[in-house]
Amino acid sequence: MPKSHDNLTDADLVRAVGSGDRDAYAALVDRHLQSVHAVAMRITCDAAAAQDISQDVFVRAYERLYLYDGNHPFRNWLLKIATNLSLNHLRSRQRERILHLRAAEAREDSAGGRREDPDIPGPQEWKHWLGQLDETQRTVIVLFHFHEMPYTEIADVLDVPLNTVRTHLHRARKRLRELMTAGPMRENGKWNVAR
Amino acid sequence: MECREIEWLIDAYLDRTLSRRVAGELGAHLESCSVCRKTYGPMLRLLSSPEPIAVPDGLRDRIAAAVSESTLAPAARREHPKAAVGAGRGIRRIAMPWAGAIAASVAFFAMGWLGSRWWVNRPTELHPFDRGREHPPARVVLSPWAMSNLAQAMASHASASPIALVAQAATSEWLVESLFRPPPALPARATTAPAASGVEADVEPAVPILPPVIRL
Repeated sequence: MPKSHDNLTDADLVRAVGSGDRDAYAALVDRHLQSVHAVAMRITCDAAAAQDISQDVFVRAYERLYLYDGNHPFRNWLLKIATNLSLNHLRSRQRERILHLRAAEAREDSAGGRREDPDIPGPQEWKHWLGQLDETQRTVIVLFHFHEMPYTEIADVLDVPLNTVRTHLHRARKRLRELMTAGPMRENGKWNVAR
Repeated sequence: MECREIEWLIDAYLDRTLSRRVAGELGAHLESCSVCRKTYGPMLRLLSSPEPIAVPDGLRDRIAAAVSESTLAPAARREHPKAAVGAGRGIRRIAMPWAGAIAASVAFFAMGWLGSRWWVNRPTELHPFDRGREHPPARVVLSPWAMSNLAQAMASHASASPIALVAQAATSEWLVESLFRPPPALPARATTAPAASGVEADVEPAVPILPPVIRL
């Protein structure tokens, strides 16, 4: 990234891209690639799909930069595109997903409703746990907890009312709690609740 | 702090609405209560400290190449961001999808209106095809309402059946007619000149046979 872009805000960079500065767009990619890729990865739980989606996000954003109104952070605009593309990807693979869920349920049933497998993943294995939520619950968890997107932005991304986002989030946490407490507890040092 | 309070406190903590003092008390409770720790601990750890995800090597270059090969013409690309900050975009986005529908609707309404006016006011003599018939045939007039409904359906690509369309138009036509039609005027009584015999006779006026009009 050229040094001259370091001190510019996202809005400045967007304007620079508008006046033909391609390096400005490279700077925007550098700034937000990590977040975009992480959102795609966490929603799809698929490394190859996350790369394709990340590429699509930045190409689409470049081609449709005129749609960015500047009222919201540029990062959130990118994450909105990433979320929609990720959800589209999941829906296109709905059949495989259903089979995956059925297999997961079958594993749960065979364990008598409780996970007694000693190799059950710990809390750091986000892919294992998030993969068991439905796509909407996973999306709100990823956007709110992992990318600190406010409720209003999530409601905008998912095109649902604000209270629906709260409901999805509450249910997603409850589901996660049920899933994660069904297995053996992994003590891992002291709790670090206070921020 | 009791265990039954923990669930909503955890929710408030995760919503970032808990004060530091209460969050401290919550942490202390989780330290001391093994049941709550077991219930909420794994989820808290997962949501509070997500594992970072590294960007794969080469992805940035791949994106740069894809952006440079974007199908949009460079001139168009330069115009887009300028338009982004400009005003008036919202009006265009709202108005454009409806412009065709509105124009078609107005055009069809005008055609229907003028057509029906012409039909009603046309010369009274019968069409050559109808000469020799005892009664004139019924006139079928496609009203402006029907034309307008048809235009709207066409413009919105609606898959409405023709019967439903005609029924809708006829209903709206009937409603408007019944609401706004003035009461029928009483027929004027014709007075004739006194006959030669000096007896005045009331003669019913000759009622012309008008063709029934079926308005769609």
